[in-house]
Amino acid sequence: MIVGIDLGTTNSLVGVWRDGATVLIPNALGHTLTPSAVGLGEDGAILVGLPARERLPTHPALTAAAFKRYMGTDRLLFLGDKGFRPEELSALVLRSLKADAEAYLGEPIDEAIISVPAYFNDVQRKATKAAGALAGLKVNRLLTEPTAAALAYGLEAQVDDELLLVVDLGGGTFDVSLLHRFEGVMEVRATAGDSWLGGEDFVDAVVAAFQAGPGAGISVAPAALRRQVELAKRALSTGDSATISVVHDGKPIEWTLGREQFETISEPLLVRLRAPIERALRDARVDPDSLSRIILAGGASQMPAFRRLIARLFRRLPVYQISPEEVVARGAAVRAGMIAREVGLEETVMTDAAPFTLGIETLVQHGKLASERSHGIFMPIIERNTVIPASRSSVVTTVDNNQRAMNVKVFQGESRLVKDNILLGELNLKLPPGPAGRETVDVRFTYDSSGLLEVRATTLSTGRVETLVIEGNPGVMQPDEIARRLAGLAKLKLHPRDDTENRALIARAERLFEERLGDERATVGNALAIFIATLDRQIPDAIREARSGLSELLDSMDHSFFL
Amino acid sequence: MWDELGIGPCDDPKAIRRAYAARLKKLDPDKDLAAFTRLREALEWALAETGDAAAQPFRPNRARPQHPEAAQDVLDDLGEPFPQPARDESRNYGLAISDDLVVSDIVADADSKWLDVAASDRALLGALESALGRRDAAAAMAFFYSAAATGAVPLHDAPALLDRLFALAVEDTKVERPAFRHLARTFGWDRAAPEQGATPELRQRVLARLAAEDWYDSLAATAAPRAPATRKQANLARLMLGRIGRYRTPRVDRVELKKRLDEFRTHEAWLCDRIDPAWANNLEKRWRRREIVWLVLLGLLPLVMLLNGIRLFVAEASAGTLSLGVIVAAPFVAAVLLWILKVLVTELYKLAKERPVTVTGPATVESVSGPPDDAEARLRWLEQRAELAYEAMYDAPAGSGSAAYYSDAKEFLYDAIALANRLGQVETAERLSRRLAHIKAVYRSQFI
Repeated sequence: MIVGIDLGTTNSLVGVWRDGATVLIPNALGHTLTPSAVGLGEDGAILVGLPARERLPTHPALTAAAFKRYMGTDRLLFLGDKGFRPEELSALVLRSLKADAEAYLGEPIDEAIISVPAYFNDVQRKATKAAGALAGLKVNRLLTEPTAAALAYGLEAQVDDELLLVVDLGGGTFDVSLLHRFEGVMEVRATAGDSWLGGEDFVDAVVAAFQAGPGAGISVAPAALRRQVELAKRALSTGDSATISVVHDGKPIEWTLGREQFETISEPLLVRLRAPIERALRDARVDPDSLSRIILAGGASQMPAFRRLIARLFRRLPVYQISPEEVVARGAAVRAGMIAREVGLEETVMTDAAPFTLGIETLVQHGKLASERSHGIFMPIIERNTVIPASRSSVVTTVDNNQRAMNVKVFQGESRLVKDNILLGELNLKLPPGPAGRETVDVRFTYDSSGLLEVRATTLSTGRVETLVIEGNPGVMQPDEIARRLAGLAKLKLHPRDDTENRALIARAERLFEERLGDERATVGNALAIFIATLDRQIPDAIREARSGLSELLDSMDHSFFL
Repeated sequence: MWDELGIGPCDDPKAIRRAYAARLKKLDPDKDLAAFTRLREALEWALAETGDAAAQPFRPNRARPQHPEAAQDVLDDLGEPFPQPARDESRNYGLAISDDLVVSDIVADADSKWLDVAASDRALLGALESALGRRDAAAAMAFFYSAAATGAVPLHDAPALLDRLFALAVEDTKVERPAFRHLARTFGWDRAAPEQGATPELRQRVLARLAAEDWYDSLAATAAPRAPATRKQANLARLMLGRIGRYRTPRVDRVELKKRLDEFRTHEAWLCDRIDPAWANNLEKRWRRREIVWLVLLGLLPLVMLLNGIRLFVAEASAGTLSLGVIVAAPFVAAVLLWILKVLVTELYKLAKERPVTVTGPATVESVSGPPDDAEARLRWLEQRAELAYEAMYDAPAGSGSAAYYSDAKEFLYDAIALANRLGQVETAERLSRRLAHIKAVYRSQFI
C-alpha cells in the first residue's frame, strides 16, 4: 500500500487513494492534522503530534517544532540533553503517521510519496528522503507541494486544456508553480519560491512588534508568546481584532491587535511574495491573463491579506474549494494512487520541472597567458525549469599542460559566479598527462523525477567513469550514518498509540494551568491531579469516564484551543 | 522529429501536445530516460516550429503606460492632499492605509467589488505618481512598498513602475544604502536578469551602484576598530577613507594601495559623496612618488654593477690579463643588466607620463565629434546631443530606428545628470531629470 504524506512545517497529514477518492487518515485523536512537533515526556518516552505541541509552552526545552526549516542542515535540536537531527525528528512524525495509517487501513504500509516544497534544494530533498528511510518507509517519490495541490484540483477539472497557477504559502516556505494540464498530462512549466517565507515568519514579525511595543523590557517565555500570537493570527482571519495575553510576574499583560495593524506589520513579508510570482510567469512565458485558475494552498494562505493580495495582483478571485491545509495531502494521495496504478487514475501522467539551475565551476581562458583567466565562472548544465527527468551533458577540457587531475565542483543557483551559488558536492578525476586541451571530460547531469541529482564524469580518452558522491556537505547523511541513526531511533521508547489521547489531555491541562491565574488555575490543577490518579489505577472504564469529564471541563474553559 | 511524435508536420500546438501526451503515456520517464528526452526534444522543437508562445524567447509584457496627468485627475477628484509616508523609526518604510473595502472572506463577498481599484488604491497610486514626479525617492519607495503589499499595483503595471522607481532611486545618493539594497533585493534587481530586455542599462546602473556600496561597506568594515583584518589592511582602508594619513602616509603595501585605488576608480561615480575624488588623486600621487623612488632604488644596483663591470673590464683589458671566459661572459652579463635597466626605465617613463584619470560618469558615451574637455561645456554638449537624438526619434523609421535614438537620448541625459550632480548644479540636474522622464513617457506612450 502506498500512502501520500504531506510533511509540513506546522502540521502533517497522511492520505490514501481509496475507491476513487482521496481519504485523509485520522490520527489516534481523530484529527487529520497531526502537528509536526516532537517532545520528550518525563518518563523518557517520545511524544509526537498534539501532546507534544501542547507541551511546547510548558516544556520548551523538551519539545521541538518547525524543524522542517532546518532540513538539509546539520543543526541539532535538543530534547532535554539529547540532540536530534531534523531528519530524525521528521522521521518520528512520519513514523506516527505510518502507525495511524496502518491502524486505519489494517495493513502494513511500506511505501510513501512525501511532498516537499518545490523550492527545496537537492540537499533538503535528500534529507527528506533520509527521514523517510529512518521512519521505515520506502520513499517511492518526492512530490512538490504545488504539484500535489494541482493534482488534487486536476481531478475535478471541467476544461481539458488549462494553465493553473498554484500559490502555496505554508508554515515555512512559499512556492509558486505554473502548471499546464492537457490531454491527461500535468506538466509543471515553471517553479519559483522563497524557502524562508511562511506563516511562521508572520508570527515572528508580530512577536518582534510585541517585544518592541507593549512587551518591551519584559521577558515572556518565547513558546508561550508564539502560541498566543499564532492564535491571534488565526483569529484575525475571521475577526477584526484579537487579543494577545501573556502572564508576566503573575500579572496579565494584554495587547489588542487590530487587523490593520497586523497587515501593516506583515507588509514587508507580503511584498516578498511578488517576485517569485513574477518569475514563474516570466520563466513559463505566460501572460497572467491566460491563466485559467489560481489555486491557493498552505495553511497560511487563509490570511485575508494574502488572499486579497493574490486576487488583486491577478484582478480575479483565487480558488480554494479544497481546504488549503488538506489540498497537498490529497494531491499526494492522488499521486500515490497513480503510482499504484489504481483504476480511474490511469489517464494522468505528470512531469515536473527543475527548480534551480545546476552546473559546474569552470575557468575561462581568454588569452594565452596564465593571467588571462577568469576563475569561478558558473557553467549551467541543466537550466532551471527544464522538464525533468532530464539528462544533459557538457564537455570540459584541461587548461594546463600535463594536468593530472580535474576537480569538478557542482553548484546550484542562478548567479554568474560560483561564489554566489550553493556548492552541492565535488568530484575528483585523475587524468593521464598531456598537453592542455587534449583531455576532454564529459560531465553528465541526470535529474530524476523526484528532483534528485546524479553527476557522472567520463574521461573520454580512458573511458573512466566517476559518479558523484556528495562529500563534505554537512546537510547530507551518508548511508552508514542513516543506518546508525536508525539503530539509535529504534532504541527510543515511544508512547503507545492508544495512550496519545491521555497524554494530549494532560499536556493541554498543564498548558492551561500555566496560562491562567487564580480560581481557574486551581480548578485545572485539581482536575488534573484527579485524572492522573485515575490513570494510575488502570481501570479502563474509570479512565474513559475521567477523560471525558476532564475534556469537557477544559473545553468549557479553553477558548484558545486549535488544531 | 515529427516521427518521434508520431504525427506528420502540423502547425497546431494543441495537436502536437495531444500527440506528445499519447506517446508520453506509453513510456515511463524514470525507466527510459533516453526515450523521454528524445520525445521532449521533439515536442519543444515542434512547438518552436509553430511559433507557440511557450517556445519563444520571452518578451516582457508591454506595460500600460502610466500617465502622470491621469493620476493628477484622480487626486483632483479626491480633493485631498497627498498622504505622506509615515516616518516610523523602527522601519525605514511603511504606510498604513485605511481600506474600508476590505472584506473578511472573499468568497462570501460575491460581488467582489474590492477587485476594482478602490479609492484608497487610487490615492496610493496617485501619491506614488506624485512622489515620482517630484523626484522624492524615499517617499516613492515607501508608497511602492505599500502598493506592492496590498496589491494596488497589478502584475502588469509593476515592471514599468519599478523601472521608474529604480531610475529615480539609483541616482539619489540620499536614499540610504540599506534601504536601497532592500529595495533591490525585494524586487529581484540585485541580480543580472538577461531575460528582462526592457531596461538593461538601468539594471546595469543598479548593479553598479550595489557593487559600489558593497565595496564601500567592506572597506568601512576593514577600517572599523577591532575588525578581523591585519593592521596593514586596516590602515590601508582607513587611508582610503581619509581617516588617517592627511600629512604622512602610513606604512601600507604599494601594490594593495594601487589595487584599492583602481577599484575606487570603477566605483567613483557612486561614492564621490563619501570619498573625495581629490583625496583619491592625492593618494595616487603619493603612490606614484613611492613607486618612482622604489624603481630608482631598484635600478641603482644593476647600474652600479654595470659601471663597475665596465671599469674592471677596461682595467683588465688594458693590463692584458683578460681570460677567454670573461671575454665570452661579459657581453651576456652586460646585456642582461641593460635589459633590466631598460625595463625599469620604461616603467618609470610610463609612471611619469600617466595622469590621474577622471571618470566621466557611470555610462560611457560614444560620439562622433567627441565631447569638450571643460565640464560646463561638456554638460551643454551632452544636453544638446540628447535633444538632437530626441528630435531624430520622431523622424526615424518606427521600431528599431526610433528605439536607437531613444536610447541615445536617454544615455546622454543620464550622463548630463551625473555630471550636473558632480558639478553641484542641483537645479540643472533636476531640470534634466524631468526632461528625461518626459522623453521616457513620450517614448512609452507613442512608440511602443
